[in-house]
Amino acid sequence: MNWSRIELPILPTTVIGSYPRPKWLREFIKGYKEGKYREDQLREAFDDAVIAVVHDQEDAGIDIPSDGEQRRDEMVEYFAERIEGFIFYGPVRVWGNNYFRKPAVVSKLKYKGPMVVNEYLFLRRISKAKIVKVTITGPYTIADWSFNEYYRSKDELASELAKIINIEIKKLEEVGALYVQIDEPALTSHPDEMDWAIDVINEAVKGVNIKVGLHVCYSNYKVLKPYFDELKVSQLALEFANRGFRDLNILKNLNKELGFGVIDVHNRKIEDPRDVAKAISKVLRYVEPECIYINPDCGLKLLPRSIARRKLEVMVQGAKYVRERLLRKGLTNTVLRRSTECP
Amino acid sequence: MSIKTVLNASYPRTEFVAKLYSKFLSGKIASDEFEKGIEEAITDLFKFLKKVGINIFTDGMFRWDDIFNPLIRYVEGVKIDGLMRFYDNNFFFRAPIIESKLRLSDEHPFRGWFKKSLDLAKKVFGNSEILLKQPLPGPLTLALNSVNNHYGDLNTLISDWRSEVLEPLIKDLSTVGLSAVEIHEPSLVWKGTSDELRKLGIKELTYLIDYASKIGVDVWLLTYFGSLRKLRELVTEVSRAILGLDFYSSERGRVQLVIRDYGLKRVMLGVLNARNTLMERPESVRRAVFKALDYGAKEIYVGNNAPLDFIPEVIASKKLRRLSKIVRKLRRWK
Repeated sequence: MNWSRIELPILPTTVIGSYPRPKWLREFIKGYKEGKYREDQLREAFDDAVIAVVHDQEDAGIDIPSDGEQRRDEMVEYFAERIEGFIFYGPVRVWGNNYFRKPAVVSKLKYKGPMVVNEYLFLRRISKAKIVKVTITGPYTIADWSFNEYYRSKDELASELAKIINIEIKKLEEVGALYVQIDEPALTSHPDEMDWAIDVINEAVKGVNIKVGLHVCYSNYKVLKPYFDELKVSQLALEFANRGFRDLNILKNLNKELGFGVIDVHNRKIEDPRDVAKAISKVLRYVEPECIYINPDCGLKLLPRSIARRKLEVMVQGAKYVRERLLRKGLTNTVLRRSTECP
Repeated sequence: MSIKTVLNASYPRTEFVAKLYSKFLSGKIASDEFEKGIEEAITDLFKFLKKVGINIFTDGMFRWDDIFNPLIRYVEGVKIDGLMRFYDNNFFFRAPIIESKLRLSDEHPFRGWFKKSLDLAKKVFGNSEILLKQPLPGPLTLALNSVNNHYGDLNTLISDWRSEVLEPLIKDLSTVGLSAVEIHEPSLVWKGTSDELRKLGIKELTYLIDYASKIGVDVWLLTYFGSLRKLRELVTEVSRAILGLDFYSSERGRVQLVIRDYGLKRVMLGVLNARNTLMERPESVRRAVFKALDYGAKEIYVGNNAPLDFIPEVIASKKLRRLSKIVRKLRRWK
């Protein structure tokens, strides 16, 4: 495949991954748990929901949609349920009144079979977009957000997970996926573990020949900055709207693509597209336009669907304002890069 | 010599409390029904604590999202910002942005909440002796988790959190029966805190301990998420408080050395790990307690090292039940 021929509009717009489940799907899942529906009916409902939310994204003008992670209750739970060796004791709170079922590792971890390959195949089949994105939770975050009752150390657990994630990404590559994003929101939370955490992420992408992005959010980016060069990924998708676009200076000398977070996903207030454009203009002082993707800060799933969609429209509009300015400089397109450096 | 089991800080929200919040936040129930539900949850927690034999406790902080919220919502000069990570946990809080001089609002609800919890505790425990503690963030922890857009220096910010917010609040709560306040200061031992800031924090804490003592309120100073090595001789300055010592963030044996070297008489041994699901071994608890006694501690409290939000409720209840049982055995032994 000739990667330099896969063109995208300059400042491609994308999502981080999750998107609100339609209300009817939430009710259907509840009904399924109460035994009202069969598993095949639930699968059909998930498929229908993916069609609906991909339509939302495409209609809002998103260039690279995801399947909205409609089949996933939560980003760690989903993988822990599909890897041998995990059990669940119950929910723990993450913030406010938001919870997740934090898994516990109680025996040796084993790859049981594809976890997101079918998600990708369905998304590819139904999306009109040239490129789609598949998200996968990274080994460090799964390790950090699990209780370790089995392995001698956390790095041993994370290394085991890296091997499993690596198998999964290679399976995605085999079936034709071009763009995978590894989600590592926990990455900088223990600065003294960064050295081996970066090794673990690199282990997860070893031998992978497609585009790999890395999403890190609500984190101390000053801790991440010294490792920019070492990471064997082509893009860093970072959250900036939530922090009022502070810390942009950490992007100085970034040698990779940036996924620039311009939409606050924990606030229902709809952004003004002119403010989105202003933020993009600001980041252009640090990163070349052909190395920037535009995305929300993080997954949109905690927002009401109508607000999520409106926020995407505003984001796309903001990106368009800046594209118009770039057009005057002759910049209209960029290419899908898998290289770990940009430009 | 005394050994007692305690519940510090928050207790995980039960499914009932989570659903209650969900209904309230989506407008399905009114505030009076929400309040009634919260009181029911606090009563259930007190019944559980009574059953397992714990009579020094908090009310589980079911009205709090984290150690800062809602306190910071009732402080003039503060705007609420986006989510920030709580130290190295997968747990987040809304951070305070400091826009002008701090001042505790006259309209805060904490007096009423504490009085209600105390009444509920008395109702559940009857004539038994109880101690209900009010958890609050410490001045250093508040300052270092704030986004400061107003104060010219951190020194004044730390000082104002103490004098303009915490002390007036403690005084206010003392009028409705508060006799022990739990001050959370993870920043005191956190690896990212400089020695200079640590000293400033200690200075403000000594003022706070003096102030509380004058109005008859005992201070429990909880340190967690960092090594006690960072505190060293500064411990002496705050040794009038009951010092909470995290067994899982310090090097092996460090807690005991601190007790010995600084002659601590009143300590809260944080031997219940609030960040792991593995059950504590009786032998480890026994060793921690006996070492503390050997090194001269007279009042020993045994409890969770940090807020319990980080583990599922089913595990937290199991751990507390087990800890209480271990301590009962130790008392008989000693």
